[in-house]
Amino acid sequence: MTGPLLEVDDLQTHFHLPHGTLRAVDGVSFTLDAGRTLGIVGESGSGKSVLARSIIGLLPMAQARKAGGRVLFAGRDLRQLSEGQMRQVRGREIAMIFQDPLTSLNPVLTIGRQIVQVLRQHTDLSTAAAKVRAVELLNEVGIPDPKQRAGEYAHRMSGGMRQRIVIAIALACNPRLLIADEPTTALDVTVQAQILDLLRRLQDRHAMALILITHNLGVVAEMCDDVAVMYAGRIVEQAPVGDILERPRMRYTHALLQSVPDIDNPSHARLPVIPGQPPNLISPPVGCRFAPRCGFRQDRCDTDMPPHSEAGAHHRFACFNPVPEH
Amino acid sequence: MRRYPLPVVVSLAWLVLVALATLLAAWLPMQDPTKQSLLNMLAPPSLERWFGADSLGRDVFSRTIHGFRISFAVSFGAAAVGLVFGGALGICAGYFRGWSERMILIGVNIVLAFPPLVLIIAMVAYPGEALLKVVLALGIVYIPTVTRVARANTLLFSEKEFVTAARAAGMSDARLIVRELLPNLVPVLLTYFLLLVAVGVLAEAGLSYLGLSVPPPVPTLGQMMASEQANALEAPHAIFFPAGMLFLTIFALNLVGEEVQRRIDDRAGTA
Amino acid sequence: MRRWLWSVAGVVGTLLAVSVISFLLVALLPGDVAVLILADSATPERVAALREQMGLDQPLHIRYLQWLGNVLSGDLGRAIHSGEATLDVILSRLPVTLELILLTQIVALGVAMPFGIWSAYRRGSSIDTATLVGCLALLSTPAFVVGLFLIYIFALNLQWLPATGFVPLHEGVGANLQGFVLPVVSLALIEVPVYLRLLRSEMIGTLQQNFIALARGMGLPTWRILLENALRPSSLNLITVVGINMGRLMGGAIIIEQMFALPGVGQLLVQSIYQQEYLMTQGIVLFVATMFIIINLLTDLVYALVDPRLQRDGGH
Repeated sequence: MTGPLLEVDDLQTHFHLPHGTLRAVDGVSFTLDAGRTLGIVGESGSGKSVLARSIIGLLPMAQARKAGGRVLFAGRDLRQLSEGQMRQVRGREIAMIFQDPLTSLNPVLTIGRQIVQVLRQHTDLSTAAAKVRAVELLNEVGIPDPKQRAGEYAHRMSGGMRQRIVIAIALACNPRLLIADEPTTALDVTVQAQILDLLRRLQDRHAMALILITHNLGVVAEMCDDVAVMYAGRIVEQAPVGDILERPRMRYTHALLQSVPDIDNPSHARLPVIPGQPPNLISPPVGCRFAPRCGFRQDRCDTDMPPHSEAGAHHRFACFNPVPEH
Repeated sequence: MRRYPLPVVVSLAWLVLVALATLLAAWLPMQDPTKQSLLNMLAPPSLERWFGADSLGRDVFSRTIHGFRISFAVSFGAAAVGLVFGGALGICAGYFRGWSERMILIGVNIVLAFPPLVLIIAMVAYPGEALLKVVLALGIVYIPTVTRVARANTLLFSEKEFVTAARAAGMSDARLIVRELLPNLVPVLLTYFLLLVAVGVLAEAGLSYLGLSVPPPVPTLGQMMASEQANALEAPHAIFFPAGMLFLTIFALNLVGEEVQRRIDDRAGTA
Repeated sequence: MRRWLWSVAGVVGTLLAVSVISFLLVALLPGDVAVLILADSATPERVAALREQMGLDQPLHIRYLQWLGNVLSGDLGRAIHSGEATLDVILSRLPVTLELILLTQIVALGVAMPFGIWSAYRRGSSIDTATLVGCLALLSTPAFVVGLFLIYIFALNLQWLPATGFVPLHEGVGANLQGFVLPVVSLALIEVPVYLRLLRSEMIGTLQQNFIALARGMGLPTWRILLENALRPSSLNLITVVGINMGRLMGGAIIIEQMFALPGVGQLLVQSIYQQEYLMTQGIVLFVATMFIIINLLTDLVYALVDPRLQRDGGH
């Protein structure tokens, strides 16, 4: 198949609230090829979770509005599909897993049943065949004694094991794209490594593209091919992972990298933090949205929105006063 | 000051109207509620008789208003009994803990082991003055729930730091309870009061339907409906006007109660 | 295991306390108890005989123990006028009340569940608001007023259904059920708002959970999500309330039974009070309270069985 698997073009998602319209995703564009991993990085409130849910169409119905843009998945614009058509895509072609494994599983259904119901929805496996497949999937994600576990309930299992089960459910129908929203944030550090490792292996085995949403740059470094940095509803820099980590251009990206503690620094060194708060997305600042907190602000940053500039192959950023090249 | 939603305003207005009518019933220019009139038996509603007349020719409107007097007397009385005794027991249990708490909880559970209506009916079966019996019986049934609520809130309050500090500084229990605890409990108990009144009016209607409330010739809402049941087809007004008033009044009480609850929750949320 | 023993001890203790109160119901009657019980059939000989039979000259605690012994062997006293054994009369009436309670729960849940689920799903919509207003209205009226209204429309005006008149099951299921329609609907409509609001509020909470988002994300259709994934965790509290309600209805159906002339336990209680049959009243109160306690206990058991989180590893 030629062309990217996923192409997001000027995506906008707004929430109509009583006191104004919250522009959670305000013009996001990126592409993702089959089998590749894209990391989406940003602070809380940057819009990354809303972006993920916009792709898969899982917004709370009441206030959200699809305000504009296209989401082309294998050539089809998902934004144009009816809910019924979208339900065919969800689970079968695109799957999503969430941050908190402790609440991601239904407490009153057995593990096996939760996998089987997905299989029965998207395939024509019989219940018996689906049960067998469910056990295979549990085995694949590294659950010991899978046949026994399939008949059990989630509440006795650890966070790491639950996240594996969630992954098993997500992968049940071999989706081509998996969106993982902070999949390791709620887990212990050692378990985090195991889950990431699992994701990588499964990705290779199933030739699956992965969108990894996180605020943890270490995870990004380890897992991602490309990285998009989000701030206040927009992507401010996008590049292959090496470029982002070593040659960031946009000031926000640079500040983010600076604020990660460095083990080689003396222990009493102060941790550089980014001062201030992310902007109010109902009335965002005119001009560059990071400008109020930026240490390298110039006058035009307050008045004009910086356009996207190129910094080499596949490296785009939006900054009037970027980090100089060296 | 926030504006009140329209349904709440209308409800409050209605409740005030009914309350005034019942309080001033004796002086209002209404027909005598017990005066029978063979001429007017089952008369339909008219300008002189807003709700028509019942099977004995008595004016239904006047009887309804007087019936509400009993309903309110019973429900307010019972609610007061429930709140005073239930509140005291709950505060005792929650504040002093230990042996008294255990005893009070056991007592609560025992009373709660009876289906409420059964207990009320059994207590009302005793000889005695009807109004007092009904108020006491209903009040006793209210006590356990109020005790639980008061105890829960007292426990929450007692765990706050300044209570320990005050006691360490030698403040007497009585002062603490009166000065600090009670003002905190009042809003909670106030919503409960509205609920208990609404339930009380419903309960009294049921009891008087069975003939177990204040006996005739004093008009009571349930008893009015019971005695006119045989003539329902010819004279529905004798049943459904009182029923309608009953419904509207309790509905208004419930609406106001929910609004009060919402405001208390809001304040608790932002506190 | 020990927790279980403590609960059983608690139940036994409560039953004993209930028995004491029931005993006192008659023992505390002011005046000469024997005279009051015999009422119009009181003659000096009969009064003396009853005094001896009830041991009225003995101290209170002896009388209680004697009475308790009788109760435990099934003797709840006799009706003065008819001479029938109280327990027999109660048991003959019990099926009617049980049928009323069961049908009421079925109808109430049958109405409350679909509306509750839909209101939670479409929270804030006009259907939701209308449903909530309807609930508030139903909460604002006593069951017997609903009953009167239904009688007026369906029995008197339209004449579709009988106003009173009970037909026992063995004389025809159709006729029997016909006689139950109006009373069951009256009672059920009063229960609906309680169940509906509880289910709705639990569903709203459940639908916000991550596992529902995951199910939606995996493309499961709405009906599957509502019925197979969201309903079960939301119904657990409902089970408890239904159980407690069934027990409470043993007493609460009194007025409806009276109004529709259904020969159930509640109507028996009212009759016994009208006829000043104090011994029978006592027996009924004890019986109904005991049933209430037992039903509550069974409800707790059912809840523990149904919620997998309460099951322990390996069982006890």
